[in-house]
Amino acid sequence: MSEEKIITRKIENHLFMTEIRKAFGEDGMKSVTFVVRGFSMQPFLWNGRDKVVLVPPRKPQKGDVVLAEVAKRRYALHRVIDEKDGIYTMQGDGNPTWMTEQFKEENIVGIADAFIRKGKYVSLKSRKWRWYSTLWMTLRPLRRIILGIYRRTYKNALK
Amino acid sequence: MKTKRGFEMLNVCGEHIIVPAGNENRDYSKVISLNPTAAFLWEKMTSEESFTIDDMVNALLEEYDVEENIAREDCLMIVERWKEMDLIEE
Repeated sequence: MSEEKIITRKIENHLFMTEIRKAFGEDGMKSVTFVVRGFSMQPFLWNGRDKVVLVPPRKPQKGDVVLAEVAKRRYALHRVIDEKDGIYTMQGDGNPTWMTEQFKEENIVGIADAFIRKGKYVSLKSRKWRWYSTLWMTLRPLRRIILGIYRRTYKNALK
Repeated sequence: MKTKRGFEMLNVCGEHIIVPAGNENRDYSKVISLNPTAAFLWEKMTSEESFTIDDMVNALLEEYDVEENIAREDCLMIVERWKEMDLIEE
């Protein structure tokens, strides 16, 4: 297909989530792939550039990256950082540490199995991802500073 | 000509898209999207053993209120696109 005929279409979030649920449900898909939007999983995932491979809902573990409905028709693809009495807490890697979301298992749309970052496939079971995760979570207290430097360095990352 | 087997047409959020059939992964980041006319023709032509431009034109004339020369132009254009995308074969 010639390049100029490739167009990008943005679909309203709630509509797309319904579509993903249908793909996992009646269509019996084992995974779905789509381009990520937003900046909350920086520095690893970039808006419009990177993709996520999502598998159907299951009981999440700490460290899983989960797509969930965190408020009515509000969705987030973030990292699970805590669980208490069936209430999960998650947080975007690129968000300030005080900014978290809560959800229950039934709010899960899907769970990330892999990312396609800069065109390269990164499994969440891979050493690369686990190393990155450990590093990022260890540096959590310094996040504000690191993200500040990062965003000044890659100004276009926020556009 | 005929449409290649192994594709299925889906309606995703109001868009007609063509995806490889039998996949366990659905990749929304790379889909072939058809406008309503193209989707109508695709459905019709897929049900035929083989078809010609005339078959397409006739299908359009039956369904839509359109002049024949315009319908023919559109069909030629659509066939051109489908060939580019490797969706049909001789």
